[in-house]
Amino acid sequence: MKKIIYSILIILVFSALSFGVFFISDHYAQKWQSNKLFKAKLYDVNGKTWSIKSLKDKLGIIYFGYTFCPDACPTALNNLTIALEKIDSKKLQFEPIFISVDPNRDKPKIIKDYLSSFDTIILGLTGTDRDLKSFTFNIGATYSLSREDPEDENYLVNHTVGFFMITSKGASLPIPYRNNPEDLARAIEQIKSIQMSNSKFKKISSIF
Amino acid sequence: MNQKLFFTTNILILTTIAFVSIISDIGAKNYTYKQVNASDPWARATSKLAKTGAVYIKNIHNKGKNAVKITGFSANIAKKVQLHNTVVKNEVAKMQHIEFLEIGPNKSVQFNPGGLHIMLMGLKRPLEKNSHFPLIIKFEKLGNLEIMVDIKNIGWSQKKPSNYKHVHH
Ligand SMILES: [Cu+2]
Repeated sequence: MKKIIYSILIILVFSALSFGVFFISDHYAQKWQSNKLFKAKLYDVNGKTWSIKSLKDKLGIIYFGYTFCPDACPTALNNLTIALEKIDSKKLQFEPIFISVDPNRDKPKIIKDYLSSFDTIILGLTGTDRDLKSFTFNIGATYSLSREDPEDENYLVNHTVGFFMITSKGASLPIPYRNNPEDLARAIEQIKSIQMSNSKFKKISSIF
Repeated sequence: MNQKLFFTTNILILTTIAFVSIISDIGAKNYTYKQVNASDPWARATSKLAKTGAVYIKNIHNKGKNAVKITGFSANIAKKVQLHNTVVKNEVAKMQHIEFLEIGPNKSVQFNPGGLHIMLMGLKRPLEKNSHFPLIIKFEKLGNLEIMVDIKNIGWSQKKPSNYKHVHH
Protein backbone atom coordinates (compact mmCIF):
# COMPACT_ATOMS: atom_id res chain seq x y z
CA MET A 1 0.00 0.00 0.00
CA LYS A 2 2.75 2.41 1.07
CA LYS A 3 4.64 1.52 -2.12
CA ILE A 4 1.72 2.63 -4.24
CA ILE A 5 1.39 5.95 -2.39
CA TYR A 6 5.13 6.55 -2.77
CA SER A 7 5.09 5.86 -6.49
CA ILE A 8 2.07 8.13 -6.98
CA LEU A 9 3.89 10.84 -5.02
CA ILE A 10 7.05 10.41 -7.11
CA ILE A 11 5.05 10.62 -10.33
CA LEU A 12 3.28 13.75 -9.07
CA VAL A 13 6.53 15.46 -8.04
CA PHE A 14 8.19 14.53 -11.31
CA SER A 15 5.33 15.85 -13.45
CA ALA A 16 5.17 19.06 -11.42
CA LEU A 17 8.90 19.53 -11.93
CA SER A 18 8.84 18.89 -15.68
CA PHE A 19 5.81 21.12 -16.05
CA GLY A 20 7.64 23.87 -14.19
CA VAL A 21 10.77 23.47 -16.31
CA PHE A 22 8.68 23.61 -19.46
CA PHE A 23 6.82 26.64 -18.14
CA ILE A 24 9.95 28.59 -17.28
CA SER A 25 11.99 27.63 -20.34
CA ASP A 26 9.10 28.48 -22.64
CA HIS A 27 8.72 31.79 -20.82
CA TYR A 28 12.41 32.62 -21.36
CA ALA A 29 12.47 31.41 -24.95
CA GLN A 30 9.61 33.75 -25.78
CA LYS A 31 11.22 36.58 -23.86
CA TRP A 32 14.47 36.08 -25.79
CA GLN A 33 12.58 36.10 -29.10
CA SER A 34 10.56 39.22 -28.28
CA ASN A 35 13.74 40.99 -27.12
CA LYS A 36 15.13 40.46 -30.62
CA LEU A 37 11.92 41.93 -32.04
CA PHE A 38 12.38 45.01 -29.85
CA LYS A 39 15.99 45.43 -31.01
CA ALA A 40 15.25 45.55 -34.75
CA LYS A 41 14.94 49.23 -35.70
CA LEU A 42 12.21 49.98 -38.17
CA TYR A 43 11.07 53.40 -39.28
CA ASP A 44 7.77 54.77 -40.56
CA VAL A 45 7.02 56.78 -43.71
CA ASN A 46 8.03 60.00 -41.93
CA GLY A 47 11.40 58.55 -40.98
CA LYS A 48 10.50 58.15 -37.30
CA THR A 49 11.72 54.97 -35.60
CA TRP A 50 9.02 52.53 -34.69
CA SER A 51 8.93 49.80 -32.11
CA ILE A 52 6.27 47.22 -31.29
CA LYS A 53 5.89 49.03 -27.94
CA SER A 54 3.96 51.75 -29.72
CA LEU A 55 1.15 49.28 -30.40
CA LYS A 56 0.12 49.69 -26.73
CA ASP A 57 -3.13 47.75 -26.27
CA LYS A 58 -3.70 47.14 -29.95
CA LEU A 59 -2.87 44.00 -31.88
CA GLY A 60 -0.67 44.68 -34.90
CA ILE A 61 -1.49 42.81 -38.08
CA ILE A 62 1.69 42.76 -40.14
CA TYR A 63 2.10 42.09 -43.85
CA PHE A 64 5.56 41.81 -45.42
CA GLY A 65 5.66 42.94 -49.05
CA TYR A 66 7.02 45.52 -51.49
CA THR A 67 5.39 48.29 -53.50
CA PHE A 68 6.69 46.98 -56.84
CA CYS A 69 4.34 44.00 -56.33
CA PRO A 70 1.05 44.66 -58.18
CA ASP A 71 -0.72 41.34 -57.59
CA ALA A 72 -0.21 39.46 -54.31
CA CYS A 73 0.41 42.54 -52.12
CA PRO A 74 -2.58 44.75 -53.09
CA THR A 75 -4.81 41.66 -53.08
CA ALA A 76 -3.76 40.79 -49.52
CA LEU A 77 -3.92 44.38 -48.22
CA ASN A 78 -7.32 44.83 -49.83
CA ASN A 79 -8.58 41.60 -48.23
CA LEU A 80 -7.32 42.91 -44.89
CA THR A 81 -9.03 46.29 -45.43
CA ILE A 82 -12.40 44.61 -46.06
CA ALA A 83 -11.94 42.07 -43.25
CA LEU A 84 -11.15 44.80 -40.70
CA GLU A 85 -14.08 46.90 -41.93
CA LYS A 86 -16.27 43.96 -40.87
CA ILE A 87 -14.79 43.09 -37.49
CA ASP A 88 -13.20 46.32 -36.27
CA SER A 89 -14.43 49.24 -38.37
CA LYS A 90 -13.32 51.83 -35.80
CA LYS A 91 -9.84 50.27 -35.54
CA LEU A 92 -9.99 50.00 -31.78
CA GLN A 93 -8.44 46.55 -31.61
CA PHE A 94 -6.18 46.15 -34.63
CA GLU A 95 -3.43 48.14 -36.31
CA PRO A 96 -2.80 47.11 -39.94
CA ILE A 97 0.91 47.34 -40.78
CA PHE A 98 2.75 46.99 -44.10
CA ILE A 99 6.49 46.34 -43.79
CA SER A 100 8.41 46.76 -47.03
CA VAL A 101 11.16 44.17 -47.41
CA ASP A 102 12.57 46.06 -50.42
CA PRO A 103 14.24 49.07 -48.73
CA ASN A 104 16.48 49.58 -51.75
CA ARG A 105 13.57 50.77 -53.93
CA ASP A 106 10.92 51.49 -51.29
CA LYS A 107 11.84 54.88 -49.92
CA PRO A 108 9.42 56.30 -47.29
CA LYS A 109 7.86 58.60 -49.90
CA ILE A 110 7.06 55.66 -52.19
CA ILE A 111 5.59 53.55 -49.36
CA LYS A 112 3.43 56.50 -48.28
CA ASP A 113 2.16 56.95 -51.84
CA TYR A 114 1.49 53.21 -52.25
CA LEU A 115 -0.54 52.93 -49.04
CA SER A 116 -2.56 56.06 -49.81
CA SER A 117 -4.61 54.16 -52.38
CA PHE A 118 -6.14 51.74 -49.86
CA ASP A 119 -9.48 52.47 -48.22
CA THR A 120 -8.03 52.30 -44.74
CA ILE A 121 -5.02 53.75 -42.95
CA ILE A 122 -2.19 51.24 -43.04
CA LEU A 123 0.99 51.95 -41.11
CA GLY A 124 3.95 51.75 -43.49
CA LEU A 125 7.36 50.66 -42.21
CA THR A 126 10.73 49.58 -43.49
CA GLY A 127 14.31 49.35 -42.22
CA THR A 128 17.82 48.37 -43.18
CA ASP A 129 18.24 44.97 -44.75
CA ARG A 130 19.95 43.80 -41.55
CA ASP A 131 17.11 44.92 -39.28
CA LEU A 132 14.50 43.53 -41.65
CA LYS A 133 16.27 40.18 -41.78
CA SER A 134 16.36 39.99 -38.00
CA PHE A 135 12.74 41.11 -37.58
CA THR A 136 11.33 38.73 -40.19
CA PHE A 137 13.42 35.83 -38.88
CA ASN A 138 12.24 36.31 -35.30
CA ILE A 139 8.61 36.60 -36.32
CA GLY A 140 8.82 33.53 -38.58
CA ALA A 141 8.62 35.26 -41.97
CA THR A 142 11.08 35.25 -44.85
CA TYR A 143 11.97 37.18 -48.00
CA SER A 144 14.54 36.98 -50.78
CA LEU A 145 15.36 38.95 -53.90
CA SER A 146 14.78 37.29 -57.23
CA ARG A 147 17.28 39.11 -59.40
CA GLU A 148 19.28 37.46 -62.15
CA ASP A 149 20.92 40.62 -63.47
CA PRO A 150 22.31 42.93 -60.72
CA GLU A 151 21.63 45.92 -63.01
CA ASP A 152 17.96 45.00 -63.40
CA GLU A 153 15.79 47.54 -61.58
CA ASN A 154 12.66 45.47 -62.31
CA TYR A 155 13.63 42.66 -59.94
CA LEU A 156 11.03 40.77 -57.93
CA VAL A 157 10.98 39.84 -54.26
CA ASN A 158 9.69 36.54 -52.91
CA HIS A 159 8.06 36.95 -49.52
CA THR A 160 5.82 35.27 -46.94
CA VAL A 161 2.16 35.64 -47.99
CA GLY A 162 0.48 35.37 -44.61
CA PHE A 163 -0.19 38.04 -41.97
CA PHE A 164 1.22 37.99 -38.43
CA MET A 165 -0.56 39.15 -35.31
CA ILE A 166 1.74 40.79 -32.78
CA THR A 167 1.31 42.37 -29.35
CA SER A 168 3.28 45.28 -27.89
CA LYS A 169 4.97 42.69 -25.65
CA GLY A 170 6.39 40.95 -28.70
CA ALA A 171 4.18 37.85 -28.74
CA SER A 172 3.50 37.01 -32.34
CA LEU A 173 1.40 34.40 -34.09
CA PRO A 174 1.02 33.69 -37.82
CA ILE A 175 -2.48 34.15 -39.24
CA PRO A 176 -3.24 31.28 -41.63
CA TYR A 177 -3.20 32.39 -45.28
CA ARG A 178 -6.68 33.13 -46.69
CA ASN A 179 -7.31 34.64 -50.11
CA ASN A 180 -10.69 36.29 -49.41
CA PRO A 181 -11.88 38.86 -46.83
CA GLU A 182 -14.56 36.63 -45.21
CA ASP A 183 -12.20 33.77 -44.38
CA LEU A 184 -9.45 36.20 -43.41
CA ALA A 185 -11.81 37.94 -40.94
CA ARG A 186 -12.58 34.56 -39.35
CA ALA A 187 -8.88 33.66 -39.16
CA ILE A 188 -8.11 37.01 -37.50
CA GLU A 189 -10.80 36.44 -34.84
CA GLN A 190 -9.43 32.95 -34.14
CA ILE A 191 -5.84 34.11 -33.75
CA LYS A 192 -6.99 37.04 -31.63
CA SER A 193 -8.66 34.71 -29.13
CA ILE A 194 -5.48 32.60 -28.96
CA GLN A 195 -3.43 35.78 -28.35
CA MET A 196 -5.83 36.84 -25.59
CA SER A 197 -5.72 33.51 -23.75
CA ASN A 198 -1.93 33.38 -24.19
CA SER A 199 -1.49 36.79 -22.59
CA LYS A 200 -3.68 35.75 -19.63
CA PHE A 201 -1.50 32.65 -19.26
CA LYS A 202 1.63 34.81 -19.36
CA LYS A 203 0.35 37.01 -16.54
CA ILE A 204 0.11 33.88 -14.39
CA SER A 205 3.50 32.57 -15.51
CA SER A 206 5.21 35.90 -14.79
CA ILE A 207 4.75 35.11 -11.06
CA PHE A 208 7.45 32.44 -11.41
CA MET B 1 -52.57 17.76 -66.28
CA ASN B 2 -49.08 16.39 -65.98
CA GLN B 3 -48.11 17.81 -69.32
CA LYS B 4 -49.37 21.23 -68.30
CA LEU B 5 -47.27 21.12 -65.15
CA PHE B 6 -44.28 20.06 -67.19
CA PHE B 7 -44.88 22.94 -69.56
CA THR B 8 -45.16 25.59 -66.83
CA THR B 9 -42.01 24.39 -65.09
CA ASN B 10 -40.19 24.53 -68.38
CA ILE B 11 -41.34 28.08 -69.02
CA LEU B 12 -40.30 28.98 -65.49
CA ILE B 13 -36.84 27.48 -65.98
CA LEU B 14 -36.44 29.15 -69.33
CA THR B 15 -37.39 32.58 -68.02
CA THR B 16 -35.02 32.14 -65.08
CA ILE B 17 -32.16 31.31 -67.42
CA ALA B 18 -32.97 34.27 -69.64
CA PHE B 19 -33.14 36.54 -66.60
CA VAL B 20 -29.80 35.35 -65.24
CA SER B 21 -28.02 35.81 -68.54
CA ILE B 22 -29.37 39.35 -68.90
CA ILE B 23 -28.15 40.24 -65.43
CA SER B 24 -24.70 38.80 -66.00
CA ASP B 25 -24.49 40.59 -69.31
CA ILE B 26 -24.78 44.04 -67.75
CA GLY B 27 -21.37 45.62 -67.95
CA ALA B 28 -19.73 42.51 -69.42
CA LYS B 29 -17.29 43.24 -72.21
CA ASN B 30 -16.39 40.68 -74.81
CA TYR B 31 -13.63 40.87 -77.37
CA THR B 32 -13.78 38.23 -80.07
CA TYR B 33 -11.19 37.55 -82.73
CA LYS B 34 -11.37 34.50 -84.98
CA GLN B 35 -11.73 31.53 -82.61
CA VAL B 36 -10.82 33.32 -79.35
CA ASN B 37 -12.92 35.40 -76.99
CA ALA B 38 -11.60 37.52 -74.10
CA SER B 39 -14.06 38.84 -71.53
CA ASP B 40 -13.90 41.62 -68.93
CA PRO B 41 -10.26 42.72 -68.87
CA TRP B 42 -9.55 44.93 -65.85
CA ALA B 43 -6.73 46.36 -63.75
CA ARG B 44 -6.53 47.83 -60.30
CA ALA B 45 -5.94 51.54 -60.07
CA THR B 46 -2.46 52.40 -58.84
CA SER B 47 -1.03 55.21 -56.74
CA LYS B 48 0.76 58.13 -58.39
CA LEU B 49 4.33 56.86 -58.04
CA ALA B 50 3.57 53.23 -58.93
CA LYS B 51 6.00 51.55 -61.31
CA THR B 52 3.94 48.42 -61.87
CA GLY B 53 0.38 47.27 -62.47
CA ALA B 54 -1.45 44.00 -63.09
CA VAL B 55 -4.10 43.22 -65.70
CA TYR B 56 -6.69 40.48 -65.13
CA ILE B 57 -9.02 38.89 -67.66
CA LYS B 58 -12.12 37.10 -66.43
CA ASN B 59 -11.91 34.50 -69.16
CA ILE B 60 -10.11 33.76 -72.42
CA HIS B 61 -11.98 31.09 -74.30
CA ASN B 62 -10.81 29.12 -77.33
CA LYS B 63 -13.90 27.97 -79.22
CA GLY B 64 -11.88 26.47 -82.09
CA LYS B 65 -10.96 22.88 -82.86
CA ASN B 66 -7.23 23.55 -82.53
CA ALA B 67 -5.16 24.76 -79.60
CA VAL B 68 -4.07 28.41 -79.59
CA LYS B 69 -0.87 29.77 -78.12
CA ILE B 70 -0.40 33.17 -76.46
CA THR B 71 3.16 34.28 -77.12
CA GLY B 72 3.12 37.69 -75.50
CA PHE B 73 1.41 40.97 -74.72
CA SER B 74 2.09 44.59 -75.42
CA ALA B 75 0.74 47.91 -74.16
CA ASN B 76 1.87 51.46 -74.73
CA ILE B 77 1.29 52.36 -71.11
CA ALA B 78 4.26 50.29 -69.88
CA LYS B 79 7.85 49.69 -70.94
CA LYS B 80 7.65 45.96 -70.33
CA VAL B 81 4.62 43.63 -70.36
CA GLN B 82 4.99 40.04 -69.15
CA LEU B 83 2.74 37.12 -68.37
CA HIS B 84 3.17 36.21 -64.71
CA ASN B 85 1.81 33.66 -62.31
CA THR B 86 1.84 34.18 -58.55
CA VAL B 87 2.65 30.86 -56.94
CA VAL B 88 2.41 30.23 -53.21
CA LYS B 89 4.77 27.54 -52.00
CA ASN B 90 5.61 26.91 -48.33
CA GLU B 91 3.69 30.09 -47.44
CA VAL B 92 5.97 32.17 -49.69
CA ALA B 93 4.58 34.08 -52.69
CA LYS B 94 6.68 34.12 -55.83
CA MET B 95 5.92 35.69 -59.21
CA GLN B 96 6.94 33.48 -62.10
CA HIS B 97 7.44 34.69 -65.63
CA ILE B 98 5.59 32.52 -68.17
CA GLU B 99 6.95 32.57 -71.74
CA PHE B 100 3.83 31.33 -73.47
CA LEU B 101 0.40 29.95 -72.66
CA GLU B 102 -1.45 27.30 -74.61
CA ILE B 103 -5.26 27.06 -74.56
CA GLY B 104 -6.61 23.74 -75.83
CA PRO B 105 -9.67 23.39 -78.10
CA ASN B 106 -12.84 24.43 -76.27
CA LYS B 107 -10.80 25.32 -73.17
CA SER B 108 -10.55 28.57 -71.17
CA VAL B 109 -8.07 30.32 -68.90
CA GLN B 110 -8.81 32.80 -66.14
CA PHE B 111 -6.58 35.62 -64.94
CA ASN B 112 -7.46 36.39 -61.32
CA PRO B 113 -5.78 38.29 -58.44
CA GLY B 114 -3.24 36.11 -56.68
CA GLY B 115 -2.67 33.94 -59.75
CA LEU B 116 -2.23 34.52 -63.48
CA HIS B 117 -1.80 38.20 -64.36
CA ILE B 118 -0.36 40.37 -67.08
CA MET B 119 2.33 42.39 -65.35
CA LEU B 120 2.97 45.94 -66.47
CA MET B 121 6.47 47.09 -65.58
CA GLY B 122 7.79 50.60 -65.98
CA LEU B 123 4.39 52.35 -66.07
CA LYS B 124 4.57 55.56 -68.08
CA ARG B 125 1.65 57.00 -66.15
CA PRO B 126 -0.33 55.75 -63.13
CA LEU B 127 -3.46 53.66 -63.73
CA GLU B 128 -6.30 56.02 -62.95
CA LYS B 129 -9.64 54.57 -61.86
CA ASN B 130 -12.61 54.74 -64.23
CA SER B 131 -10.34 55.13 -67.24
CA HIS B 132 -9.05 52.49 -69.65
CA PHE B 133 -6.12 51.63 -71.90
CA PRO B 134 -5.54 49.28 -74.86
CA LEU B 135 -3.61 46.03 -74.55
CA ILE B 136 -2.62 43.59 -77.29
CA ILE B 137 -2.68 39.83 -76.84
CA LYS B 138 -0.34 38.15 -79.33
CA PHE B 139 -1.39 34.74 -80.58
CA GLU B 140 0.92 32.48 -82.55
CA LYS B 141 -0.35 32.08 -86.16
CA LEU B 142 -3.72 33.76 -85.40
CA GLY B 143 -2.40 37.29 -84.94
CA ASN B 144 -3.15 40.05 -82.45
CA LEU B 145 -6.27 40.67 -80.40
CA GLU B 146 -6.66 44.21 -79.07
CA ILE B 147 -8.67 44.64 -75.89
CA MET B 148 -9.58 47.62 -73.68
CA VAL B 149 -8.62 47.28 -70.03
CA ASP B 150 -10.99 48.94 -67.54
CA ILE B 151 -9.31 50.44 -64.52
CA LYS B 152 -11.22 49.76 -61.29
CA ASN B 153 -10.70 51.30 -57.90
CA ILE B 154 -8.47 49.32 -55.57
CA GLY B 155 -11.32 47.77 -53.56
CA TRP B 156 -12.97 46.27 -56.63
CA SER B 157 -13.25 42.53 -56.77
CA GLN B 158 -14.12 40.59 -59.90
CA LYS B 159 -15.79 37.77 -57.99
CA LYS B 160 -18.17 39.97 -56.01
CA PRO B 161 -20.91 41.70 -58.03
CA SER B 162 -21.99 43.61 -54.87
CA ASN B 163 -18.67 45.44 -54.83
CA TYR B 164 -19.13 46.27 -58.47
CA LYS B 165 -22.37 48.12 -57.70
CA HIS B 166 -20.65 49.84 -54.82
CA VAL B 167 -18.18 51.49 -57.21
CA HIS B 168 -20.91 53.06 -59.27
CA HIS B 169 -22.99 54.96 -56.75
CU1 LIG C 1 3.75 39.93 -61.63
